Amino acid sequence: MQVIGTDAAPLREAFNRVADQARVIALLSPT
Amino acid sequence: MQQIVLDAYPEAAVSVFVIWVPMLAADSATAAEEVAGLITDLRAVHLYDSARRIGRGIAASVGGVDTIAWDTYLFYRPGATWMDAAPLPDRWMHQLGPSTWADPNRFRWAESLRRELQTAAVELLGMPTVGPP
Repeated sequence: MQVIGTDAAPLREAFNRVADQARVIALLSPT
Repeated sequence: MQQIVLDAYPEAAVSVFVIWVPMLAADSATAAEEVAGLITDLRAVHLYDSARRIGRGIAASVGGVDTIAWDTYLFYRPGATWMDAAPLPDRWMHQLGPSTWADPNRFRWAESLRRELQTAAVELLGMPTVGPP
């Protein structure tokens, strides 16, 4: 699992890489 | 997510980004690794938001100022692009209760959350190809 620090770029780039698809973001607490 | 989106649409071109946000005392990257195993579909990407950067950015995209989104679900149609800020989702809902920053009209819980997630999935992906209606 990739750890995101103070830069959202990894998610932004992954999100845009599949911009031709529908996408869902789920923000969850691990516990 | 696993059942309502990924299992119900096994052939759909959809990507699910599961962002694990440390909000509770016991939350950690290790705990996130453990629960990430519950969503194993290859179309799911798991990320650990150690500094809550994503949570803040997503909250801002739906009107939350200086706050953190968690227990929140956002659906985006093809074509949505993340520029400097996260795009506005086509549909979103949360489990944060009616008294927080998030729009109380989007608060869902238990069965109402399941129904709303299913409605969003149908809107985005069409009728499910497997599983219950």
